[in-house]
Amino acid sequence: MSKSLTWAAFAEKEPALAALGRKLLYPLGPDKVGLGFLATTRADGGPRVHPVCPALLGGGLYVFVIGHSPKRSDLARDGRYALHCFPAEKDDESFYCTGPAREISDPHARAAAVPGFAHAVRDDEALFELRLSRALHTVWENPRTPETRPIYRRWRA
Amino acid sequence: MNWDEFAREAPELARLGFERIEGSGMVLLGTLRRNGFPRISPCEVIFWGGEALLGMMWRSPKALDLLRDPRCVLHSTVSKTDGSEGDFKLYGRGLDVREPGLRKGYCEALFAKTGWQPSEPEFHLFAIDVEAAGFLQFGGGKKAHQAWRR
Repeated sequence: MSKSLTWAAFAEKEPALAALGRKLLYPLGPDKVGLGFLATTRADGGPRVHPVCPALLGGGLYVFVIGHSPKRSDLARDGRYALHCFPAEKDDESFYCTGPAREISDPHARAAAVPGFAHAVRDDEALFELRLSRALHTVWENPRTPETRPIYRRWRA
Repeated sequence: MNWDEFAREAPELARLGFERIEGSGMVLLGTLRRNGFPRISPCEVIFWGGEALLGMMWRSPKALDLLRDPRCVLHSTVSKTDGSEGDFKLYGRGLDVREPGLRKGYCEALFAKTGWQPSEPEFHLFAIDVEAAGFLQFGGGKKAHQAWRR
């Protein structure tokens, strides 16, 4: 598994990129539910994508997934993930990060995380911390024109 | 099988998928990086000539992913956070389209929709070879699920 950092350690190294990521992972506002798409790797090696509600809590990036879902099995078997913000209406700005996911099985740590999520967490949901190996922010200049070009802000652990 | 063949096999699922994708014109595309990590990228979809077509910038990371390993998944975007509109997923392979007539048709359809089209030959075009699909919808405390596999 590649080198990875917690969200807080990433934010310390790349504060501007982390601020953009936080803004885009909370598109409804900082006190509302976090939204994103999580990609995992299926048992046959192919990709899987699903919407999730990520949360930035106590220096970490976390996500709950339904306990008996295919994505939970994916993450338990192969922790490699990619997280993408919900596409903006004009699709002119995005944030993406990737790295290893680690299940938080300690019941006290899980219980402590629950109030930090704006959605109603069910008892059968499993908590994962998403550590970061890479992060990418993209802004498109002149989208859908011959002059279009992406402007990237990248970070790698 | 292409989109139209899938629609003949699973018409209700294809109708739901078409509505969800055409509504935004965009999907989240899952591909595989060279190191096996998954990648997610927003991508525009054009339905033309019986195909679900994905155009990509020349040598973009997602295009290079599909040229190396065609396995992919398309997921509809979400505009309602309560899940009531439903999530559509399409699993399959992204096939590199070289056929000039299909590429021309894609460009014309994209121009008609957006007022812009890429220039030949500097874009990639992939047609989805559909292998499985699913639709999941929450509403009124209930969960509705449809699935199809080739």
